[in-house]
Amino acid sequence: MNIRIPMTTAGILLAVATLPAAHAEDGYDAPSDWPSPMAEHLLAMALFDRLEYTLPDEGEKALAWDFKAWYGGDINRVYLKSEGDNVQGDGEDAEFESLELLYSRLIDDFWELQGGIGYQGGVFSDDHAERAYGVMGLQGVMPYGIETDLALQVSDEGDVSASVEGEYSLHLTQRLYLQPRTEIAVAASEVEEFGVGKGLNSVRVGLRLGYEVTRRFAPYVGAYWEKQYGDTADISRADGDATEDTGVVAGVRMWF
Amino acid sequence: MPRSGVIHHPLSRRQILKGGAALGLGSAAALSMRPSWADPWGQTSVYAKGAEEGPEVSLAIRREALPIDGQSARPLTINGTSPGPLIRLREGQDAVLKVTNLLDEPTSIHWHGLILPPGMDGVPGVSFPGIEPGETFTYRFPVRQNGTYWYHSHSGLQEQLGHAGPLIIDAAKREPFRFDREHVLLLTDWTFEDPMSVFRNLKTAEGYYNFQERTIADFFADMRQNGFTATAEMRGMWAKMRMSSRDIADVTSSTYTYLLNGQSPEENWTALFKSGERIRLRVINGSAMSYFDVRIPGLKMTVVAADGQPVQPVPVDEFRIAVAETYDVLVAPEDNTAYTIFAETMDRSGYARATLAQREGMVAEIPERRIIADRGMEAMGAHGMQGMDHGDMQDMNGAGSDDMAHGDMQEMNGAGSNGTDHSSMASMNHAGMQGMASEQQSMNDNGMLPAGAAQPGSRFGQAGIGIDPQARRTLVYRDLKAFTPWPDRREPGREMELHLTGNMERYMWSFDGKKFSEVTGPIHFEKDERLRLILVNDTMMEHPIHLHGMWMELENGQGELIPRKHTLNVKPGERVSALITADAEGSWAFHCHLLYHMDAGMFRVVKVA
Repeated sequence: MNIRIPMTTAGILLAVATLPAAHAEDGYDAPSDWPSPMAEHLLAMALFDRLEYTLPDEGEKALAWDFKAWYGGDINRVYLKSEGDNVQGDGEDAEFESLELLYSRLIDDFWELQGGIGYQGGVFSDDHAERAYGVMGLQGVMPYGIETDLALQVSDEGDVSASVEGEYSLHLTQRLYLQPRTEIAVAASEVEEFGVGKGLNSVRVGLRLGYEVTRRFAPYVGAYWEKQYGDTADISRADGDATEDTGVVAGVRMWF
Repeated sequence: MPRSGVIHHPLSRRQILKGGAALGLGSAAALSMRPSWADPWGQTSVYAKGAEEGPEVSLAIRREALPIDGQSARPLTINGTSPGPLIRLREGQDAVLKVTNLLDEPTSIHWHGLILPPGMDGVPGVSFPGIEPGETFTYRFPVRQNGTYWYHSHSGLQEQLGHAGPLIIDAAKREPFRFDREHVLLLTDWTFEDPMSVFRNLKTAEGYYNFQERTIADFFADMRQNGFTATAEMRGMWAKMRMSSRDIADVTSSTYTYLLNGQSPEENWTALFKSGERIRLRVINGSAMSYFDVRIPGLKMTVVAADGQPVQPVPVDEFRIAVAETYDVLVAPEDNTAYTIFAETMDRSGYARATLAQREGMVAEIPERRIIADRGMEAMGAHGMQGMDHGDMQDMNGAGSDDMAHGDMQEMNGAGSNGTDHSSMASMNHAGMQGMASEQQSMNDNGMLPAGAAQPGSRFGQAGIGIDPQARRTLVYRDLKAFTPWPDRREPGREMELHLTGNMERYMWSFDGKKFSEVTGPIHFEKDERLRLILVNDTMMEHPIHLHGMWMELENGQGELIPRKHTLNVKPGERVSALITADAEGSWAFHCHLLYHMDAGMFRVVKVA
């Protein structure tokens, strides 16, 4: 594990360093001081897929985010991904469920293989337990247009966990869309500090109704149901927390 | 000439422009809302209006404030207007075109469709290094052809900013048709967005500009028409491929204002004529991304030239003009009648419009736009299903019901009613059975089709998506017949096949699956060889493929009268071929003329040596 993080980091640095040089010579006899007839463009994008206020039936209100940004070309990209929330009124600072720096490579028309390092813990303070992890993932679009994010994490303690997220958009009108969403988490070992049990941890299913004011800005409302299973549920019960919850959300999807 | 009696402005716009420049104003933006050649009285061959007449022409490129559709904009201008001036040359001249770059970035001008020495072709990095800021580059070349052409920047995305204009070459000998007056109709698509931002939107968010996607309502409408099973299967197939059957145009009217001679539909540019005149319309699609369907309700148009080259007259009601193509049509308008020149975009999201009338201020009705068509299975068959065997293809065609009639099929393709290719079913089968169809063709000893024969898998009998051949007589590629056979009568010595490829999700476009940045060498043509270039469109978009420096003789089945073109529209799933005489030594650009497709990698260099 200890060797993994520096290696991945080195991989990312190497990728970034080689990106602008990803110019093939076309081999025709243009003098070397002539420009390439077609420039390669490196682009960047930052997306808040969810930036929402959550009102659960049982748990505490929270401000939650699901953020993704990338920089790069068509094949090689660097990603920064983060999910987390700030539970309101608990006197604690916001928490990163995940903050990941990934190298991403397009391996198929619709799929990117991603790998890098992650952090879980407090955003600014020591209010929350912290850990670092290595992550491998597959991000893309399944047949029928289901946006998918699969990830396998190995923590600095050697704990292995995995998650899968799926999202689908259904056009009701040109701007109004309905978006079912699901998130499933599993773990190979128990990590009580993080409320993680062995086996199936939790399932979360949500439905959002959004309106694209512009393609870049879409406010939405939604509802969700989530349930914890097995050891994970036991840990929650021991802490006096609910193991099943429903709630409503209101938020905005936006990108820059 | 009926033109002679007309005295127009005492001082032409061009003279005003020149005066402005002389007074040190630098730009005549405020004075010039449209290029001076776009005079309502048009042009006659003896009296060119507001044109930059050759053989010597000076052009200055600037970026300046100039209103477009009444809104403030900053297009690239050429001698103070955007689109740029009409350049008028004469066949047999030695043209001297001096281009001065007054921008703060490099620029260039490519003379689209002209046969000229490789160093004069104007593609930075292929023909020359480009024109640096403050620099003047002098293009010199003998003019060896005549007809309707155009010119545009070949640097980055500059073309999107209005860096384009018409280029007309008067014939040395009399042309095979007569007319009294001519008008240039230059179609362009303008966006108030930064072109780089358009490119980024295409790259980062699929369908960004498409506000005609299928919705749940379309599903129910189709279900009522075709039944649940057929509809669900059809939609399922598209969904499975992660594609949209409404992906007709990448960039739409949600950002574009479509201009005709620099004027928006509301501004309504007017082309005037006098009683009894026969008018030649030189139609140029100088758009970055937009295909147009052009018609003049109430008026038959006779197509007399395609891509600047004379063709045998074809009377039509409508013609589709791919990006970068030009068509010359003759019309004979009636007295005291106003006509709308209506250029509807292929995705039906917008239109460009002008009026043809005897007086300014006269208008005619603007036709209703058609509704966007869904792509049918000819596009689907092309994409990702090449490995599919014949039997599967048939199942797909039948969409689950064996007794499905031809008409039902059409409706599935055409989202209910309008805009369907009538014969798409037939051609689809055709495309799916290339191996079989070719057996019916006679072949040469070397196993190749004879020169001029249409490739199996071509759909030259169809205008394409969204055209209902029953509604009106629409020009199709099969109609195009050269006026006389082109000089090189040799059979092709070899065939070269190139696939048009793409990844819609990432907006990557390429030839043979490789973007320009990924290829390792140019495409080689043997000097003076006669070769057949076969283009196979594996994508579900149309691509206007443009070869610089040499003609492509489109093998549309017209034998020795195949037409020659500089830009070939290849429809989704189609397989077409062209004969090329590789007589132009040097390096030449070869690319898709959709600007953002080219910039995304659909570009190659052809080396003739």
